[in-house]
Order: sequence, then structure tokens, then C-alpha cells
Amino acid sequence: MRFPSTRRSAVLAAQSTDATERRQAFEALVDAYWKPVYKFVRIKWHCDADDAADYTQGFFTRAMEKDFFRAYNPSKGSFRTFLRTCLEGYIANEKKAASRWKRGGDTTVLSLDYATAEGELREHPPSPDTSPEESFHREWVRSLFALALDDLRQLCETRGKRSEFEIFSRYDLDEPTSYSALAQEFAIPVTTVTNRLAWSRREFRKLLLDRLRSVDGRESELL
Amino acid sequence: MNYLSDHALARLRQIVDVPDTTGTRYRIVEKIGRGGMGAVYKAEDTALGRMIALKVLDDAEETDEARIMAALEHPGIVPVHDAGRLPDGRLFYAMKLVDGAPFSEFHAPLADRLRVFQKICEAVAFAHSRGIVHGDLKPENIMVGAFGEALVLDWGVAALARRGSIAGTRGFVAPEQAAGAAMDTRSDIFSLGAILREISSREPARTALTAICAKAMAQRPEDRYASALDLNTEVARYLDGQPVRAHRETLLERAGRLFARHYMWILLIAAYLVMRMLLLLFLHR
Repeated sequence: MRFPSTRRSAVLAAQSTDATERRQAFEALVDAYWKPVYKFVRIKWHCDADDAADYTQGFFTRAMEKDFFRAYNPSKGSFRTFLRTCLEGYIANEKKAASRWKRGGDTTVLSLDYATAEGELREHPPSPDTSPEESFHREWVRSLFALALDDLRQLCETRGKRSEFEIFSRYDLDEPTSYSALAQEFAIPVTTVTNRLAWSRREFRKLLLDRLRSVDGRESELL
Repeated sequence: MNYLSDHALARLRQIVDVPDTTGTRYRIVEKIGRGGMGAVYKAEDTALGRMIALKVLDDAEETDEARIMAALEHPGIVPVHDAGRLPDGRLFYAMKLVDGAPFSEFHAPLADRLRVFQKICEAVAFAHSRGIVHGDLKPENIMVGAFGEALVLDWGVAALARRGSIAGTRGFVAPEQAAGAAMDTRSDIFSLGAILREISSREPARTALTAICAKAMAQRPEDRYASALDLNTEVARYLDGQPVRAHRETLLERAGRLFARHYMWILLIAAYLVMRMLLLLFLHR
């Protein structure tokens, strides 16, 4: 995996005339959005897991074939809202025509782990007070952070900085612990712990912003 | 891709939200606001041992905002002390931390609010004289200090306007600016008019003030006040009880205004005349 200093906007690249670039951009968009889309469909239309998976597949496949994202105009709102509106239109049409895309058809099949998404939904159901739209936004944020975390893990592995990732993960993601406890555990001075933590946090921030820019998001949407 | 719990997500959000100032002389204390282009933090300047406001821009792209503010040395414009890049590539600049409240939360008698408004006009007129259009004037972008001083903040749109991009805030943005046409100093006059309207909307309607707002906010830029100083002068006339140019008053309005302006003298003369009449009546009994 390459780590570009700044990830190019996948939204722009999805409108490229170059087929390879368009496909790669599309994959980046699917990475960031498929889980929020799947969960949104499950919650908003009360679909069962198979139907939600069909709709998610169908939506992205149709979007790729019909160039849905070409119509996106940044001056009219965020890409996230645009995509959600496209999805709502797509499902309304599918339901109307009662001819939704069936699994196993001759269209491209995206390899998405619906079982995991379904498990997450079962274990962490959205609060009844949360609207499907709010839930979609929250899942989108969660998805971006999780992707950035994966990027950080891979970056650390590539650069031989596994302990940096371990320290970051232990201090910032697990149960609260202290610098000295980590220093003891990793047999390094406390200053090394803080330095490694600062490096990981800095890289994580960069990677997250790269991910965000790639889907034309603004930082204010994350917080 | 593992599932991130709400707790882990909240923690990561916090990490992302607090900028990494490693390698700089600033230590973040707390976030104090967020605009369209970045967030502002209260931070300690460890070299000088004082608190400052640190603006961190969302994008890593160059902007002229800090340079514009640095070029505008005026008591009504927040001074910039320093500018640079954070380790994550984002631009920041350090400026004076204003001890005060946004103009939108400045609750004082109308006359005091109008005097603050005049100071805003002076700062904007100064920027205009240097060829800078603010582009996003609104009560939230103006701080009123502890001594009643007004400071105009957030010159980010002015920086963008130099590159042809246009933004602004609904309710305060001039129609030509909102339509994407070229903006000029008269676009700021419109925004000043909208601020004046906001100030006076909390009071019973006053014809002269309403007329000033209407002229400042005219749809066609050429129908507005020619400069922020002209608008300032008009507000000064209103405060002094003089007729304003935006409104031709009726005889009754004129009498009312003159009475309001000279009521002490009028009452004194009336009291003198009444006493004189009573004295005459008493002497001729």
C-alpha cells in the first residue's frame, strides 16, 4: 500500500475519463460508505439482512454503471448528503418497480462483508431516539475513523513501527492506562512512550484527513 | 476493519480535534470556536507566557488570511503575532486573545450598541482604504472587548475573495456576492446594514434607523452608502438627533426629533414661562 501525502479526491476521480482511475476512486468511495449505506437501509426501510445487502450491492453497482456521482455539485452541499439522497431515490425506484437487483446476476459483485456489518448492528443497535439520517452520519464517521486506523496499522507495519501502533492502541483505544505502565510493559523510557504516542497521533490525524478529503468531506463534519 | 466502539470513537475524535502543536511554542488550552474555515483555540504562548488565540485552518492550502490581518494595523482589527504550519501540515496563526463577548451577545442600551457599530464601520473603512473587502461581516465575527472596543475577526473570506472564491453568511451576505458576482466594498456596506438592522430590531421601530438600514442594504450596490465612513457619519447624525440623509422627515417627525434633542431646554423654558404666568396672575389679584 502506498501512503500518498495527500489522497486525491475520490469524488473528483470518480468523474475521470480514465477507467482505471475511475474504478480506484469508486473503490475508495465504497470503502468509506458501504457500511453506513447498509445500516441506513436496514434501519430506514426495515429491510432484512439479505434485502439490505441486495440494495447496497445494487446501489453501488448502479452508481458505477450509471455515473451517479457525476451529478455531484459541491456548492449545493456535502457529498455525504448527496450520496444519501441518491440512495433514497434509488431505493424508492427499486421498490416502485419491484425489480431490485438480485444476487448472482451478471453485474459486478462487490466483495463486502455484510455478515460483519450485520453483527455490528445486532451488537450495537442504534438508539431509538436517533433518526436514520443521524445514524447514517454517525456510521459514516465511524467508518472513516476505522479506515484511518487500518491505514495507521499498515503504515506502522510497513515502516517497522509496530510498537508505536501498539502504544497508540493501548493508550488511546483500550481501557485507560498510564505512560509509566506502558513504559514498564514495553521496557522503554516514559519519554519514548510519549514520543511514540505523539508520532502515532500525528500520523493518525494525517491519515484521517486524507481519507476525509478523498470523499470531499470537511473536518467540521467529523466533530 | 474492526468495529470502533463509541468510547474509542469519542477518544479518537478528541485526538483529532485537539491539534498537535509539537515543535511550536504553543500549548492548546481549550477550543473557543469554529468557523467555516477552521477552529480557534485558546492557547498558551510558552515563550512569552501569555494566552493567545490560535486559529487552525482545516485545509493545508496556503491562504492570505494571516497576511491580510497582519497588514491591517488598526485598533479595530485583531493583531496577528505569528503564523506557521503544524506537524500535520495545517496552517495556523496566532493572534491576540480578545477578552470580551461576540457582538451578538453584547447587551447594552441602543446608543452604546450604535457607538460600537461606529467603531466597526471605522475598522471596515480602514480595511477598504487598503483594498481589502471583509466579505463575511456578521455579529459573530465581531468581538466587543472589556473597554467597549470592537474588533473585527475572521478575514478568511477576504483571503478567498482575492482568489475569486466567494462565501458569506446568509442574512448578512450581499445579493451580488451570494449570486457569485464580483464583490466590492459595497458588499461589506450591505453586511454592515444587516448588522445595524440586527442591532435595532431589538428596539421599537425607529424610522430614521430603519431608513439607514434600508439604504445600506439596497439591492443595487450603487444605491447603498458609498463608503463605511458615510454610513458611520449617518449613524453619528442619528445619535446626535440630527436629520439623517436616508430619510426625508415629516413636520411632525421633525418636531418630535427636535423635542427629543432639546427637551431639557424646552422644559426649562416652559417651566420658566409657567412660573412667570403664575407670578403675573398672583401680582394682579
